[in-house]
Amino acid sequence: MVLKKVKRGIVGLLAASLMISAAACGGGSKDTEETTAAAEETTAAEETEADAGQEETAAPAADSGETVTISIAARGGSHVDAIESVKADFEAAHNCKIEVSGYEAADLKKNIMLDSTKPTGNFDLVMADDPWMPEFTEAQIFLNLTEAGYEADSDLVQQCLDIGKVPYGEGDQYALPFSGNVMFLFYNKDLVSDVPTDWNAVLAAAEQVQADGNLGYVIRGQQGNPIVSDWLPIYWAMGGEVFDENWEAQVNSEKGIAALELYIKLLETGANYEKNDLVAAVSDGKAAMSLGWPSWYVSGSEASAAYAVIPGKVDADSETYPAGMIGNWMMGVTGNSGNQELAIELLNYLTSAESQKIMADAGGVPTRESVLTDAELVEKYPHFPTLLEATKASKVRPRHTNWSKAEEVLGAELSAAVSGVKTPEEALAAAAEAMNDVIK
Amino acid sequence: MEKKRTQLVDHNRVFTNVMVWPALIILLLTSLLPIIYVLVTSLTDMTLITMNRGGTQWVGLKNYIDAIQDKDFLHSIWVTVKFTLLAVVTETIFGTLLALFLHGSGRPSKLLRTLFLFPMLCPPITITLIWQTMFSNSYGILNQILGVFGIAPVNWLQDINTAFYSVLWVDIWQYAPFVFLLVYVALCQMPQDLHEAAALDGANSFQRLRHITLPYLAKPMTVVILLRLIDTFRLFDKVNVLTKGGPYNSTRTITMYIYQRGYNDLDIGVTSATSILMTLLILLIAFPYIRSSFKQMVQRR
Amino acid sequence: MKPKRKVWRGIVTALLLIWTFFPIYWMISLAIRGNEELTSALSFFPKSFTFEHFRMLFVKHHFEQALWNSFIVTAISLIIALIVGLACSYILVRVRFRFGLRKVSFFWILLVRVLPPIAFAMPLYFIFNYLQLSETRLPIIVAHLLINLPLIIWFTMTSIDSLAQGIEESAQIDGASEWQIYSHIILPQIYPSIAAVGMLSFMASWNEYLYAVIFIQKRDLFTLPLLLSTMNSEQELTQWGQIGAGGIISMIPVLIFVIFAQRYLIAGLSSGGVKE
Repeated sequence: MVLKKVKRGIVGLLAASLMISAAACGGGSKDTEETTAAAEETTAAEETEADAGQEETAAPAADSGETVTISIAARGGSHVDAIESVKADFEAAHNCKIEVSGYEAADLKKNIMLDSTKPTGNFDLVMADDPWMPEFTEAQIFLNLTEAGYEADSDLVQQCLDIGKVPYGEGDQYALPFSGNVMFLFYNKDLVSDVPTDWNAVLAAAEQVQADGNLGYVIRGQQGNPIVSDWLPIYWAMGGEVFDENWEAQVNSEKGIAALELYIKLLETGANYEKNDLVAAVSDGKAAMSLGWPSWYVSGSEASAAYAVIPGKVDADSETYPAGMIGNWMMGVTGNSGNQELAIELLNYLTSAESQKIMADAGGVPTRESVLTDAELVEKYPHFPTLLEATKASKVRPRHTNWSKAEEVLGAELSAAVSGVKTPEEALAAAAEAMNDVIK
Repeated sequence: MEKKRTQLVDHNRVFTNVMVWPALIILLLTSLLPIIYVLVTSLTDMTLITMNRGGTQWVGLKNYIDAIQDKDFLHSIWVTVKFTLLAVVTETIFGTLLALFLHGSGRPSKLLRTLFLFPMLCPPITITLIWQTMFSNSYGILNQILGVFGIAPVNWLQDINTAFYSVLWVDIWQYAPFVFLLVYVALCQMPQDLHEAAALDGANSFQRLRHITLPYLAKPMTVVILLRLIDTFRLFDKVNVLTKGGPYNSTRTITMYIYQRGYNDLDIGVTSATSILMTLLILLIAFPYIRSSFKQMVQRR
Repeated sequence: MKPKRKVWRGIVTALLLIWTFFPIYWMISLAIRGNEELTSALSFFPKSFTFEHFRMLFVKHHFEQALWNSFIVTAISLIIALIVGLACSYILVRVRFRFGLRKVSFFWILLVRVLPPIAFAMPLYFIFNYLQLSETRLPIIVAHLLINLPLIIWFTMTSIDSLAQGIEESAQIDGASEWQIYSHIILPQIYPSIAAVGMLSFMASWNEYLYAVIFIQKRDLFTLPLLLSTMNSEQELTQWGQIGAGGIISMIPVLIFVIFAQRYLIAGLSSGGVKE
C-alpha cells in the first residue's frame, strides 16, 4: 500500500517536471528547428546563387522563397527611431525584413564583439562608436567595403569618412558614417551675446556671467568618458596631443597642465553637472556655456540655447588647431554576416542623402554635405551648417585598440584634479604613467 | 531495513534520487563547464582579438599578479569592503527594527507590510535613474528641498565627500526592506508559546526581546546577512548609473573595475582572473557566516 | 500612556512611509509630466498631466511584447526552480548520505551563488552558441535557474532544518508515503519561507539584466530591463517620462505576485498549527 503511494507520488512528480521542462524547451526547440531550417535554406540559397553565376535567371528563385531577415545591432534611442523611419521602403523593394535591435552603448559593443566570434553572425549590420573602430577592425569584425566594391562618395563629409578607413584616413573603407556627432560649444543666447572664438575669451565671458549672478561655464565632470570628452577639446585647442607617434602619453606636458588649470578655472565660474542637468541649465538661462553633443538640443531648437564651433585657439592671436571632438556613429557590414550583399545595399541605402533627410526628423544627424546644407532642412534645423563647419574643424580621439582603457585611467585622474584631491601636475603625471601602462 | 538514529523517517532510494538529482544536475551542468572555463582562461591572455584571429597564449599567473599589483584594483577592494560592511550593517539593523516594529504592533497591518516592501520591488536600473534625478546638482528635488530650509545645494554624486554615501543611501533604501521581509517571516514562524510562558513568568517586553526573540532570530539573520553580503559585494548597477566609479575612483567597486578593465573589451583573461580573486575574497569575508550555517546544516548530524 | 504611545507609533510609521515612498512618488510624478516640464527645473507637484509616455511605450517600443517575454522567462524558470529546488533541499536536509553529498552540494551551491555573474556570462554564451541555442529562450531561462536555484535550495534548507521531525515520524507510522510526508507535512509548514523566497526569485528574474543583455539577441525576445535600459545614453537626453512610465508598468506584475505570495505567507501561518 505504502509502496503504491510512493510510486504514484514519484510518477506525479516526474510527470510534472517533464511537462514543465517540455514546456520550457518547447518554445526553444521550435525556434531551433526554425533556425536549422533557415540555415538549410541559406545553404540552399547559396547554392542557387553559385549556380546563378552561370545562369542569371535562376537568381530570383532565392527571392521568391522565404523573405530574408537583415538584422541590425544599433544603439538604442534616436538611432533606432531613425532606422525604423526609413526601413519600410527598402523592405518592400528587396522583399526582406529588417530587424533593429537597440542596446545601450556599452552593451552594444559587447554584443557585437561576442557575435563576431560565431561562424555566421546574428547581426548583418552593426553600429560602432568611432573610438571602437581600431578595436573592431583589429578583431576583424567588419567586412572590407573597398574590396567589396565600395567607391568613396565625396558627398559624405571627408572627416566622417576617414573614421571608417583603416588605417585611419588612408586605408580601405570598413564602415560608413551613420550619425554625424561632433561636439559643439553650447551657449545661451540671452547670456552670451558675442560668441567667444578663443578659450581665454570663453573664460572672460564666463567670469562676466558669473559676476552678473548666473553660472558661467558648466563642466561635465563625471569620471570616465564624460570628463575626458569635456577636457580634451581644451587640450587640443592648446595644440596638445594625447600621444606622440611612439604612443607615449603627452598629457602631462606644459600644455596639458595649462589646459587642466584653465578647465578648473572655468569650473570655478560655474558648476559640475551631469548631462541632463547641464542641458536644462543652459537652455533655461541658468548657465551660460558648456560643451555638448548635437542630439541633446535637437528637440528644443526654439529654446534660447545656440550652437557654435568649439574654439580652436587659446588667445585671439594664437595658432588655431582642430579641437572639436568628433564622435560619429559608424555602421558597417559584419564579416560573418550571412547576407553580405543585401547588407551592403542596405548600408548604402541608410547612408544615402534621401534616407538622411527623412531620418533627420527622427533625430538623425546627417553626415552628408548636401543634406547638411539642404535649404529646407536648414530652415528646420538651423544648426546644420554649424555642424558641417564643426565637423570640418574636428579631431578624432587617438586611434588605438586600447583607447577605452586609456580614456578610463585619464578620466579617473582628471576627476581627481577637478575634485581637488590632486593638483593638475600630479593628476596628469599619474595619468600619463597609467596610460602608458594600459596602452601596451 | 536498517534504521539510523538521527534519521527518523525511512527513505526510499528511488524517491530520494528522483527528488535530489534534478536540481543538482542542473546546477552541475550549468556551472561546472563555466567554472573550468574561467579557471583556464585566467591563465591566458585571451581577448576578443586573439579569439577571432588566433594567438591566445598561456601567461601563467600574470593576470593575477598584474591585478594584485594594480593600486586601482586594491583601491576597488577597499571601496567594496567598506561599502559592503556599511551597507550590510545598516540594512540589517534598520530592517530588523522595522520588522520588530511592525510585528510588535499588536495586529500587524497587512497593508503596511506590503508598502514597506516597495523599494525592493522597483526595477533596479529604473529606480536608480530616478534617484539620479533626485540627486541632481542643479534641479534635483533633494537640493530643492534643502533650499527651502536655506541649505546650499549639495553636489551629491560628483563631490568626492558625498558620492560614496549617496550610493550607499540608495542601496540601503532599496535593500533594508529585503532584511525586513526575511526577518519578518522568521518572526512569524517563531513559536508563540515561549513568549507566553515568559510573559506568565513576568518578563517585560524588553526582556522577552532580549532573551527570546533575538536569540531566535540569530539563525535566520545569519542567512540574511550572508545573502546581503554576497549581493552587496558585487555591487555594480547603481555605481554604473550614478557615478561610473567616480569621483576619483571613490565609488569604484571590484565589479566596476572588472567591468571597465576586462569585461567591457572582452579582455577575457583579465576578467577571469579578477573574478576569481573576487570570489576568493568574498569567501574569505563571508567565512564566519558560511562556517556557522555550514555547521548548522551539515555537521550537526 | 497608551494614547501617547499610539501617537509615537503613528509618527514613526509616517516617517517610514515618507522615506520609503518618496522616490516612488518621484517616479510616478516624472511619468505623468509633459515633456516641456521635464527638461527644466521640476516642481514638487506636477504642473501638467499626460498619459503620453505610457502610450509611447506601447506604440513605439512594443512594451507589451517585452512584458510577455519577461513573464514567460520568469514564470518558467521560477516554476522549475521551485519544483526541483524544494525537492532537493528536503532530501539534502533529511536524508543521510554516505559520501558526504550534503557537504559537497552545500558548498557547490554556495560557490555558484558567490561567483560573479560577469565571469559566468561569457562561458555560458559560448556553450549555448556551440549548441546552436543562442537564438532561443533557453539560455536565459537556464541563466535564471543558475541565479535562483542556489538561493531557493539554500534558503529552504534552513527552514526545513528547523522543523520538528516528530510529526514526520508519526505520519510514517500511520502509513503515509514519503511523497505525502513531503507534500502534506513539510511543504505546508514552510509556506511562509516558500512565499518569501519565491518573491525574491521572482524579482531577481524579473529584473535580471546582466545575462539578458548578452543572451538575448533578437528584438522579439527582449525583456523589460533590456528595453528600459536603452532609454538612457550619454549622448542623448534621458527620456525621464518613459523611464518613469516603464518603471511603473514593470512594477505591476511584481506587485501582483507579491500580493499573491502574501496570501501564502498568511496561509502558512494559520495552517502552521503543528507546533509542539
